[in-house]
Amino acid sequence: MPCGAQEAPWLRPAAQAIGVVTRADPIPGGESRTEARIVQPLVMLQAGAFDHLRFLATVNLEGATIRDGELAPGAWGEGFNDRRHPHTYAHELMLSGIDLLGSLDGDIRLAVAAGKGFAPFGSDDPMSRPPLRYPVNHHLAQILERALIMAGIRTGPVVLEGSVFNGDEPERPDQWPNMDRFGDSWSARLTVLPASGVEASVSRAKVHSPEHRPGAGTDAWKWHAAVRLERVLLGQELYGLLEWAETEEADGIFVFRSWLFEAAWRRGGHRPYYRFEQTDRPEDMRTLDLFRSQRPHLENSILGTTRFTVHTLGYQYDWGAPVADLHVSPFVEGTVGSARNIDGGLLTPQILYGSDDVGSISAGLRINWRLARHRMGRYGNLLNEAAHHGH
Amino acid sequence: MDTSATRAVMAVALAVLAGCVSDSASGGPGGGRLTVDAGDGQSAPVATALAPYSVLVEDPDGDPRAGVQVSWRVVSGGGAVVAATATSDAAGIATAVATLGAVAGPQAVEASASGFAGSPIRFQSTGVPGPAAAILRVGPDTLGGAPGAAVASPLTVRVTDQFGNARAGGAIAWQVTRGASALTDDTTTAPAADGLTSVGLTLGPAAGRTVVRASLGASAVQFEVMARAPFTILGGGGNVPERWGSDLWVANGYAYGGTWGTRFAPGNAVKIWQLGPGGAPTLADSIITPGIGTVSDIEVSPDGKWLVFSTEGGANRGLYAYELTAPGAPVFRARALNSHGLHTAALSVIGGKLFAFAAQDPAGCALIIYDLSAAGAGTIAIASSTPIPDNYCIHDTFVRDGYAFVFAWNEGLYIFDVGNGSHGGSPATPVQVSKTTGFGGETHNGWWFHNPNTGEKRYLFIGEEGPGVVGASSSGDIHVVDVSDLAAPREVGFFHLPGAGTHNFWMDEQAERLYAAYYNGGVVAIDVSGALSGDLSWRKIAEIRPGGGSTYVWGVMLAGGYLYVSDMVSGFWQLAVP
Repeated sequence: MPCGAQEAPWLRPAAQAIGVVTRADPIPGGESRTEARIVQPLVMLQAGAFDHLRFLATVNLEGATIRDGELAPGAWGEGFNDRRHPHTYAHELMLSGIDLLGSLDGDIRLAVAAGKGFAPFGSDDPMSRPPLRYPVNHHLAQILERALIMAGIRTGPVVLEGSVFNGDEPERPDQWPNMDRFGDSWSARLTVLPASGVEASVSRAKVHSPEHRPGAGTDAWKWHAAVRLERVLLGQELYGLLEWAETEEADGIFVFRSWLFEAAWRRGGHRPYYRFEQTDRPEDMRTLDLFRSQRPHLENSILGTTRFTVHTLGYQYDWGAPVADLHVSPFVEGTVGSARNIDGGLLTPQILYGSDDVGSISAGLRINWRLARHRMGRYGNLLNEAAHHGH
Repeated sequence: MDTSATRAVMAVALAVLAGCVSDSASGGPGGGRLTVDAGDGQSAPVATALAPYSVLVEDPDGDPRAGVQVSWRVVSGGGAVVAATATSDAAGIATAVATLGAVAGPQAVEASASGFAGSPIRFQSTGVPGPAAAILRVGPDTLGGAPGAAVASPLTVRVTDQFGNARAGGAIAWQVTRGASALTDDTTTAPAADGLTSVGLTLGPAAGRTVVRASLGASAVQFEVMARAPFTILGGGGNVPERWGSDLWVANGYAYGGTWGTRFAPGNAVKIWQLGPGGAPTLADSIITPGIGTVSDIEVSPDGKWLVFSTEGGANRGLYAYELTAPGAPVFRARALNSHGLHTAALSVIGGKLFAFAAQDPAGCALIIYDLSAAGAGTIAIASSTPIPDNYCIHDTFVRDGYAFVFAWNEGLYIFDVGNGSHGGSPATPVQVSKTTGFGGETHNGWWFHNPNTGEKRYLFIGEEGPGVVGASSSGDIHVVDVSDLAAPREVGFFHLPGAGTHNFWMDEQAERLYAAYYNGGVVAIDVSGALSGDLSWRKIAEIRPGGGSTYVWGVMLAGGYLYVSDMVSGFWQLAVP
């Protein structure tokens, strides 16, 4: 165990909310629509004590502000289509033990974490990345809001994490994971940090019946690989992510792939950013509300696969010095791209949108109180260079 | 020692040595000769004993020599010698008894005695086929051809003895035991030396299965020959462009077609097709039901008086009953809303009342039995609700003879007594007879085949609905289940169509023919006559993709001699069956 005085208990609250007006054209049915919403409203509480204990709670209030989702062409998951779904109120609720053996294991760091949160798989939650808009590949590149137990170990520049969790996706914001299914799914992620601010990772996961909560659905076998950069060069903050993801279901009958590249650059208060994405989306049976699909599914069939190829360009300005830790950042962001059916299924973009082109534009204000660079989906303080700097 | 004495001693020594050698082995100083005595060149049925082989052992003077040991062994052709050695008798004769091998043909046995001229001696015999014991089919297990045409390959059998040796002769009796096909040769033929004999077959005028029996005494084989002919498109197609089609029913000179999901318009319509004198469909009217997303199943009551359909999606999902006083203008009488939605509803009259057996799906999985007897008064009552564990719920139900066969995806097959009386069940109190999993999983639909020609109620055909992309691909086989014992169904066969999966069925039971919707595979006709086991793919009579590349067939129904097809993409079709 480390020598010296133990860390005194600490508590750090933070919060965020984004007011945004989005116009999407087209939407399902072929019209266009403009909506104003409060998105990504978060209240976060981080705490620590005794050098080795960390607690994280992220309350996401989207269930109240965007119960019907947020306009986002191509977005899908949890029964939403072309609308990004609201997250569950208990977005993260994780208790972690970090560097459990202290100096006993030399430079090796061992961590365990349990609670509700992200399985160690894929890239960071889009909420903690520069663009406002969620990528189409959210459910290919992240596994979130699960009851999980994870363990991780870091030795030198190599981090290995593994977890078991429940495979079911949430169906509504106030729903908890189906604990009867805890342990029916697993994930593993290997991350290498060859230089400061540079990461390369490979992830693998088996998620049992994600779309059918009782557990009768097919398994999803997932791969993800990424290279991530985040560092200061010549006084400018650079960020970049290149990722590839693949999810295979029903013994390979359904395969959905994604390529994504995004980058941001900050100088002074200016922060332009860009994302390119090409992602395959399954088309499910829609309800009379074309933004929603039947849940649970009736069969193991889909109505087609749509490949979205989209570019998102945005600009955010961090307005002056924070007042009482409050950061105010106006932004504008636009997305243009195309959608095309790639497997001959019934539900083609032409039928759905009356067009192969998709697009949206958003403008809004990001208000952030003490929420600094929390990377959702990374627990156990394994990425930081020093053992105990991950408050 | 003088010379004479020396000679005497040598003579005695040689004599003693000669005697010792003679006693201990064949031949001896001065040797002798070994020649054939008898048995060479025999011919006998395989695996039988031959007349003894014998050799004559002579000394150098040509006198018979006794006590010489002769070795016998089989050199080729199988078989055996009873004793590996024999000793020559006083006449110089050594014998061996040999048995022929099981394979017809030459057999060689060798006799040898060391030091004897002529040794070894080889005996040659021939094993000939034994009595005819078996008749075997030659060529593929099944054959096919067009109705009225000669089958390309003759029907050929091989006659063998009990050891599989081809055998000539004998009389093979040929008989067509099913179908109107005709033999083109004599009904009795004789195998040639190679055991083969053939007949030609000209298929009858109708598509379907022909069975030809070839027999030789008690031994017989069957040839299964399928006469295959195409479906013919008579009408329809491209007639529901704004919606995706779903289920169908044909009655009273009209056809009723459901719609599904949202194409350019929601699946809230029941299309009413008037069937012309030739059965061709013409759109006459539509029923539009607000607040629903899909008409999931549709059926007309056995008396033709009620049109009933189940619906999913939207606030008004549930069961709808329309009166068919005028079949072209159904009149709404009653509905029973169901907050979960109903995936299917099968009608059956039990105890004089009309019931709908509905699949509550996708949540709250249950078999809901609705009592439609008061639908005319605007009331649909729930007779019973039987929960089914949520394993993707019930997808379809088939009701016959008071039994409900419930197809419950990965829960498998449930059989309920709902009025048969065997287990005391009724629509109000269904009694489970059995629950069986398997059948490939994803158990979707079925048909209990009552064969009017044999009286059998042995087979249940089950549709497996595997994963697929609606409009493009599908998977899943037809599983043939023996339900002779309703308490213990067991799969006995399957039908697989490469590249496609099955959906709903219809049967022409008199013709012993199953018609299956096969999504992107179109429509398939399958002969299900006789005993069913194993891979039944050869029983396919015909298949058609009426919409070409835009084919995704939901359901089929035979009516008025025509097969009506509801294709989700290409519309409503009328086909002539082969």
